[in-house]
Amino acid sequence: MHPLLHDRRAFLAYVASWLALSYVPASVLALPGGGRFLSALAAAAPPTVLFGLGTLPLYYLCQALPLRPTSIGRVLRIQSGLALVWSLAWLVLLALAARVVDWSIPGGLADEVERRWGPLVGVGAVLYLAVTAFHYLVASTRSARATEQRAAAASLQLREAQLSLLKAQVHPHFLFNSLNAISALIVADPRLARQLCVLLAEFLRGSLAMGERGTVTLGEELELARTYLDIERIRLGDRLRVDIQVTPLAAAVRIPALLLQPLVENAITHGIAGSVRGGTLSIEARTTPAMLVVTLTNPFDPQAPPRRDARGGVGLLNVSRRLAAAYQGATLTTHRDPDRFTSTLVLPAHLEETPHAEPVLAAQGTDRR
Amino acid sequence: MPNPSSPRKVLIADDEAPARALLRELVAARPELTVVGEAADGLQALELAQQHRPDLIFLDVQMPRLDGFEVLELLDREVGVIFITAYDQYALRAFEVNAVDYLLKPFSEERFEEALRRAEQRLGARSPSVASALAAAARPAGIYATRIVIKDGSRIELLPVATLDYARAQADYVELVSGDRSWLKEQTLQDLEASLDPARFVRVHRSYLVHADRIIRIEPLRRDSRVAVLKTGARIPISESGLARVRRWLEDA
Repeated sequence: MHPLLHDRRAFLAYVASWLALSYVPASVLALPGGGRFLSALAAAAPPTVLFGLGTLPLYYLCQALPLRPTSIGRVLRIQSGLALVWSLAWLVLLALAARVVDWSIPGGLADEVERRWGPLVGVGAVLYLAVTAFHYLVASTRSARATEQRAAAASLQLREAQLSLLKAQVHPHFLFNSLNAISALIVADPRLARQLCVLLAEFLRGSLAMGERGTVTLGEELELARTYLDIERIRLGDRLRVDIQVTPLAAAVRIPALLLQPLVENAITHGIAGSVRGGTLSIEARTTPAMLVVTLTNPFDPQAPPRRDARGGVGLLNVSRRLAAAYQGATLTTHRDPDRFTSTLVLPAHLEETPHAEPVLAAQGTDRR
Repeated sequence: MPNPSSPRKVLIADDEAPARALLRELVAARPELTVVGEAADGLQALELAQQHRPDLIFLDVQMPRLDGFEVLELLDREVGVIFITAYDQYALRAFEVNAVDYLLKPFSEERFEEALRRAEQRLGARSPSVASALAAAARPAGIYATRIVIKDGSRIELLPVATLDYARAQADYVELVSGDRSWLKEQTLQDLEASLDPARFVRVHRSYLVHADRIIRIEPLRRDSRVAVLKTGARIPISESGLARVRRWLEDA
């Protein structure tokens, strides 16, 4: 439905404006040497209001023929043609109305319409173009509002994703196992217990601080990963070995905060922790001219007991979602060999703070491209 | 539990060294208990259990090779078990429902002693259904077993559910058949059926559970009775209610 038909007052205002616009053709008819103005107005008003009502469906035509630089010529041709047709139709109605007026108050108005058909067709065409412009205006306002709503909805979704990410950030399993390790080490190895306390505090503090920032450097992100892996090494012992290779340029690239962490945790919980022999988690980061490439590889036991918790994959899905929200052309690909899992992150190598990524916590702007 | 004069034998199974150390310390503080072994994965836990015949096992739920529930299925039913987990809402619910003792990491000494007391009170053997019921209750809805653990003499077999052709009830056991191999497992057919995806396994007979996509045709045997012929050539009797279930499966598939 046309937006005007939803709003009574707007509709009445629309009809009233067309009534007022009848003044123009009436003036043409009542020019010196023409008929009396009031008769002319009486004849002009009904066809002009009808013109206004009859052109309401043009709203859909305007939506179907948007004004774009590529199609402007075609649109102008179509609209000019329609302007001519519409104004001729209006002229016929005007001539009929003039005859009706002449019949009640003889004043030769119909002859005036015939004599001045040229200027009248011009007036009709101008009216047509005016109403078309009006429809374009309404359509563009509405589509702008729809875009705004879509953007708001997208931003809401993003924020929900961020919230669930944050909730998932510190896995309860990890937290309680770490506390249990501290509880065990307090008697057996008090120094290590204290070290574990400090590491756990560092990890939690780091996670919270990074959650409040939009982007961090890959170097900062890897620092948090190292703290996390130090904790896991105390729990898992020599089953976990870590090899991190990162070029200085790659370390300076800015990435959305906590983007990497789920991949690191995934490599431990679904890989090395489920394997008796364990193995090396290797993280390699380098830059190509425009992109940052981070590759994580971990062994896993194909015979490991299936994990009953349905969490598996949620971490990876979250990373993909955040990538899609922050960049165009960034990818997360995973590859499963018989006993080895690889995830590869490719994203634009921005060295400055970008407006794309929102902080995980306390998101402010909604600038998304 | 044996007579109280000799110390009771305790086995500790957890893949994290600090967690084992904590249990060792707590057990060592009690003269009526003695640690006979420590396992870092589920398979090792079973091996040590066979070797040392412990009275009680502290069993971590998440371990490499075999998880705690799989270990429980293969363990002698006389052994007392106290499960340990850090955080696993499904496992917790399963423990509560099946009245199985457990400890939540990290735990206090009081909680540790309470679990010991309760394990002592539960004298005698577990019913064979507890392990299956526990494993089933610990799985989120819609998630089914992907493998079946079987003890074949002293060997442990992991049979992928996808390779199972059919299972047959045999008194207190089920016979699991895959191709030309078969195994016996101490489990009821009902318990096995409950652990498997009902969209893939159909109870065609009181004594038979069939991997439905293995059926190539159904032949009449006598009046009122039919057999399912499997890809392997095996012929499985179908009961009247079983036939209705096969038909329903065919319609859904």
